[in-house]
Amino acid sequence: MNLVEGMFVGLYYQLPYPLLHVRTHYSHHSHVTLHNLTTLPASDPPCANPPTNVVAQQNNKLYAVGGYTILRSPTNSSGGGTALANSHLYALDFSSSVDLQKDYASIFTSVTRLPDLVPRIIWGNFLWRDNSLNLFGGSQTTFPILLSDGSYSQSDRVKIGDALFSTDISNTNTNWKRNRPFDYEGTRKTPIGQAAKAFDGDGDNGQGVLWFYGGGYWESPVTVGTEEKGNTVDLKQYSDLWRVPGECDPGDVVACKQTTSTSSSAMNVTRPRMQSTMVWVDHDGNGKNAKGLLVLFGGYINGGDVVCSTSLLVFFWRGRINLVSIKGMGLIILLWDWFF
Amino acid sequence: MRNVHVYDAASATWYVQPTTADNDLFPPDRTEACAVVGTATDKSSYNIYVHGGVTNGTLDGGLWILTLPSFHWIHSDIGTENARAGHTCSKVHEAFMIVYRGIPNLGDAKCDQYAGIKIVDLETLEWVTKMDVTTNMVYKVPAKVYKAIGGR
Repeated sequence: MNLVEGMFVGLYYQLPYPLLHVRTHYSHHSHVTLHNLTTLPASDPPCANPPTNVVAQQNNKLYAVGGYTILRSPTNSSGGGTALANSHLYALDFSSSVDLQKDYASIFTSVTRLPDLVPRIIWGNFLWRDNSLNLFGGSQTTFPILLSDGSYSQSDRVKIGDALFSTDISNTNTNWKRNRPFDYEGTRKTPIGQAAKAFDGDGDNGQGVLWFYGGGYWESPVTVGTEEKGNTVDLKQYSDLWRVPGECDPGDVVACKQTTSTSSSAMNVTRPRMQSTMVWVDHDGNGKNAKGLLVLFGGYINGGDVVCSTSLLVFFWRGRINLVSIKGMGLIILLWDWFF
Repeated sequence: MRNVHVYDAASATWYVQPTTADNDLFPPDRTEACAVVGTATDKSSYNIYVHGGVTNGTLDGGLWILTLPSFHWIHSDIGTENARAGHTCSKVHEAFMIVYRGIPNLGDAKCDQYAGIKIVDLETLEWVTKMDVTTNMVYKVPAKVYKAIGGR
């Protein structure tokens, strides 16, 4: 077992699907994988499955990035295959009527290969603001990626994303910029991903706020090659809530982020931390006045087991409730009326 | 997912509140689900559509609706036919939910270049292959929801 595989052992024991699954594939075929990559086409396929995130939405047009694909030999489609990090940003146009049986391919109005400098990120975070797509955090996997010259690389991605990458959504071929680390203060690492994310805003006008909750990172350093990398093996999970407002310069996200701790000791019920789902329930339904609430549900708690939370979480934003206690559904409805 | 936790931002305090469901039919706990929100035009209800996810190693293909402010779970008739996890859901034209990629089968993550998009009609609560778009479309509360909570 080499060091990279060793790290995946850590992943295996601490993450549920789908990383657990990927590790199984990867470890069983890692050496074959790298050899076989030389026979793959120079451009990896414009297709990937989980978790290919829709990271932005504007006027019924979606943008998606991330994920991975299991590539298999054409002569052995049931074989283990190779995990290959996705390298594309997709634009999907649903602005007009669609017949999936006839129009499927035409939905994808552009499939843009990310420049090699942009890490292939799984479970990352995103911020859609001022027509700029910003990616940060996430797991930069050891899955190999094919570079633009046809060679492959799996180096220097054995860590969580610590930088903010930005591009103009209208021209994703160029102008990707690497900004300073998101968490330069060092007080809290950007989640590895698997954080719950919600967009609060007016996406059609390119304005909005990103909320994310939970996630985790690998706590202990690991040596890969001759370099020591900062995170692997010990999974530290978060249960706090972040709000990244949209009123600041894209290069200054770190300066305008806000952290809202949700780890209050007053909360004695176990809450979900990773792979939860979160939505922004907007009061007006159009995201124009930033009034509403977050609803978070599901997720797991323990790193080694998929122990789903039995809880559903509601976070009231811009609330000023100062209640001594909440008892009964009637009070919840009262709260709702108070807010809206 | 029987309990609701309410966080008071002003006092940084958590509160716990149960949800309700007919016939004690609550959605199973899950990870890696996705969701969108439909807002009634009169703002009488805010309906959170929750699709898919993994429950104890099993893909859950169902579509559930948590309707607010009653915090009542409603189970749609959508079953496991398009079960997946790690996917994303996006609302378009106020009337449709685009379900994009994800793991269709646990233990597999192969490329499905021409099978990654599914569409749900948010009013009829059915999978559709055609999305007919007209101008000024609005969200319509599903009958199954307004029959349960009243109003429209």
